[in-house]
Amino acid sequence: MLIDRRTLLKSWQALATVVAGLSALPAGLFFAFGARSKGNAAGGASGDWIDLGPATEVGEGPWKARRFRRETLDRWKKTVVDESVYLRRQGESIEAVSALCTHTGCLVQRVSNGFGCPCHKSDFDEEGKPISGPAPRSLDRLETRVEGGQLKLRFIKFRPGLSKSEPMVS
Amino acid sequence: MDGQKRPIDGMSKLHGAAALCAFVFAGLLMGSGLGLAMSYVPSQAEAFSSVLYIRQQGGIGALLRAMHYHLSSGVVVAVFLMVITGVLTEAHRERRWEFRLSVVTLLLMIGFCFTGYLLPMDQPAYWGTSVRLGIVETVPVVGGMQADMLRGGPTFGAATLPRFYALHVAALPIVLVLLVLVGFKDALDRAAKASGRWLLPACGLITIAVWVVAAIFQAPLEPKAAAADTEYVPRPEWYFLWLFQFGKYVHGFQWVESALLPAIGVGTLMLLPEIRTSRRLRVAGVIALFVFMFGLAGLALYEDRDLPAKPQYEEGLVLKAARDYRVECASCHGLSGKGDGPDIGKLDGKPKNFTRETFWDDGTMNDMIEVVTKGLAPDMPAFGGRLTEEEILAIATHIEANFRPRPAPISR
Repeated sequence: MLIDRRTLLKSWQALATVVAGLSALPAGLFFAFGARSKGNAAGGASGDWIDLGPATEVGEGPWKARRFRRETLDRWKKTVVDESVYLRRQGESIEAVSALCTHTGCLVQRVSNGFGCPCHKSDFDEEGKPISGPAPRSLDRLETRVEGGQLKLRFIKFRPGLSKSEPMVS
Repeated sequence: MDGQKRPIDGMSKLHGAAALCAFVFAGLLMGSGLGLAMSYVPSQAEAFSSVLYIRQQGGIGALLRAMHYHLSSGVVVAVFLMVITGVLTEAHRERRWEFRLSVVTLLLMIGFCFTGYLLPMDQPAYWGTSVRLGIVETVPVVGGMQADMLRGGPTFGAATLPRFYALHVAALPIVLVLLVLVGFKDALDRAAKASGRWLLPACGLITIAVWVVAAIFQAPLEPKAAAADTEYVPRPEWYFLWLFQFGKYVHGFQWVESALLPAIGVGTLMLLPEIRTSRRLRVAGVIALFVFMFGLAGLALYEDRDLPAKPQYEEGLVLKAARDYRVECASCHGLSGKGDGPDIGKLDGKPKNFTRETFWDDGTMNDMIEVVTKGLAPDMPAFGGRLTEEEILAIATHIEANFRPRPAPISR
């Protein structure tokens, strides 16, 4: 130790440490539990069905990136967020796969016969299964349905880095 | 403890110099940070614009931002060297707690980098932080909870930036100041006694050097964060490249990168003062560490050799305008702006030809911006909801710069 215990207890440094400790408690409590988002309950968060426009816009052929906007109510603030998803048509049904890499959450890009992540070089095949690189699981499939000719997507983000899909909701 | 009696070797001098630099850098970082905080707005909607304003205003604001940016690298290097030279000399055995506190200081600096990196809310800020939070998620047991606390919820949202800001400008600085005043009080006393009248001039010289560097090299700012941009390729700061490359090799057990590696590193350093080791062994260990870090960083740079340089905000606007024109406009107005795109058969009217002088006689840039924003019957769609005002202005500028016929040069 720098100084023995008795001098330490009497020093102004000890007082300063006590003050620091006292102020750390309320701050730490708020950091851990305060002002958390309400997730789905607030509306507009993960898990809503989002309208992606006419289903006929998705033609036959390989996966194609689709950008869309969704309105979210984040605590006090209504915001419009841009998101990306990959879509493809398999006969009558339309499939959707999340663009978030399952490793650390970068957006994967289309490469020949599959997807590639530009961050840590994870590669996925055409079905989203990891072929090489550090990704721990397949790209996450998202639910779609067609209602009156309109394509609807149930948009959910999943936690990266885990071997099982776990949605990001509180 | 007869440290003063032993002759001071080169490594001890380096140790002192690194500590002095770290001390001065920390002071300048606080000063420049305080200045920046007077203009910065920690909200998702305003953060980028407020930083861009500081950048475009120039003057003292841009100078302080450049200083803050370069010093963030500088202070990490200085504290890292302080720890390494502490290992190489006997300092870590002679003053065990001071050495351990220097390791804590290094962790604190990494905390500053982690939280400060997000604040400008440009592309690398958003994506770098997303990746790091993704890595935090993989810490066993507490990872998901920790990432949620940092974000203020399960997804990146309105509370995230205020939390990072509060940590960066209040919580961490308080801890740092306490650490220096309480933990390093003796070290400061010793430094003042040992170097005598050289101490203050040395501080002054370092400060002048920092101001000069900040005045010469501007701080970068990339385009505004776009959470749906699948074309952006995120890369970390240079001093994290080795860890980034390491992440590429960890298949399946991600806690190796997020928990095991840091635990081994910090644990070794904390226990080192208790273990009697030969200097040769420690030198070998440090060399191995440097080979590991620089090797991985070199490999990362080598694998990215074909990666195009990241455009700064101003270039990014121009590049994006060209891309937006190709994607949004060219199907009707044509790649050459003549109104001869492939889709004109589907239209009711005739798309404008930008290469005709009469088009430019009829209206101003403001008219064009209004039409792009609000649309025009029968065919022109409104882009106001999909593109920002600034993006539309950039497209209009792109059209004028590329398609407007140049007046014949006036002969003299």
